[in-house]
Amino acid sequence: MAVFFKSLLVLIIAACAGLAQAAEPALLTRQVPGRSLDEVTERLTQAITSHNYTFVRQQAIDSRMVPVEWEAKSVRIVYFCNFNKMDAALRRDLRTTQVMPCRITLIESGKGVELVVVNPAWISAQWNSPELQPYCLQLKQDYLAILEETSL
Amino acid sequence: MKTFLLAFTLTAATLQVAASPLSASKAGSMQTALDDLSLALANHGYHLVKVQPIDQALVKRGFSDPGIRIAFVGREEQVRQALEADPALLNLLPMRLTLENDHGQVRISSDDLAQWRESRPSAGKVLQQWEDELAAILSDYAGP
Repeated sequence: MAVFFKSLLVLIIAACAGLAQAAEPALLTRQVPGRSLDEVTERLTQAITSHNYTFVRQQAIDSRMVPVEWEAKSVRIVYFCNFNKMDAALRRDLRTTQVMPCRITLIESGKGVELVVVNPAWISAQWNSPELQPYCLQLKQDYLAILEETSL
Repeated sequence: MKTFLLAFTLTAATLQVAASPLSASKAGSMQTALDDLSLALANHGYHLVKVQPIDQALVKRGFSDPGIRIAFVGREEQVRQALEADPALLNLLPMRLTLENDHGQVRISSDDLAQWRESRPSAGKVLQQWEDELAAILSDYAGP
């Protein structure tokens, strides 16, 4: 009987560890209906600034991989960062380069524009580092706030 | 007590194994590393899309130098591959490589594609191909 409970305990702990990783979605998304890629990029740039981040650049997803005239017109990437947060994160752990600089992918379709972000909290769940998880959770909240403001 | 320790050890080991970015390092300056990386990328049909000089950007704003630059790399077919396999993969493009200057050695490491393979099995073949290509590029960079 004791062996049964011990085995059960082991399974529960392992399952909890798995759930901790699975709890975070890999992607954060937001749909902006009825607007063009240029309009949403403009709104996104304003939202980035209003949340104390610095716009770095925007590019087509295949920029510099194909001639300019062949670049994808419907998928764009916007890069931005907050240098204070970047400095603090790098001082903690260089693995945080995997979530910097911040980037949001914009995908235009007939319905509008979809904004997609790789969830930094999902990335950091793999690191097994309690020290880094709060930083990535805060970054996730910043992304969500920026996505929300862009989609208003 | 032994059971507890065993469970935690196994769990921790599993989590550690899951995170497995590729990396390669060799002696040289950041500029030499970028030159060598460019050659290695070209050898495998990849382009150096952009270098983000994190080190210079932070120093310029009064922060200490972390010795880090981020290179974005890719090849033309990857966008089509991502759209066919799983559009979520677009968020990995262009792919990110981190260059870390550490006492005369420049280490280049990739993002952890194994994490993506585990979470998106249907795109596993494409992700494995990209990972294999990055491994070959980094091996080329490190040299014999």
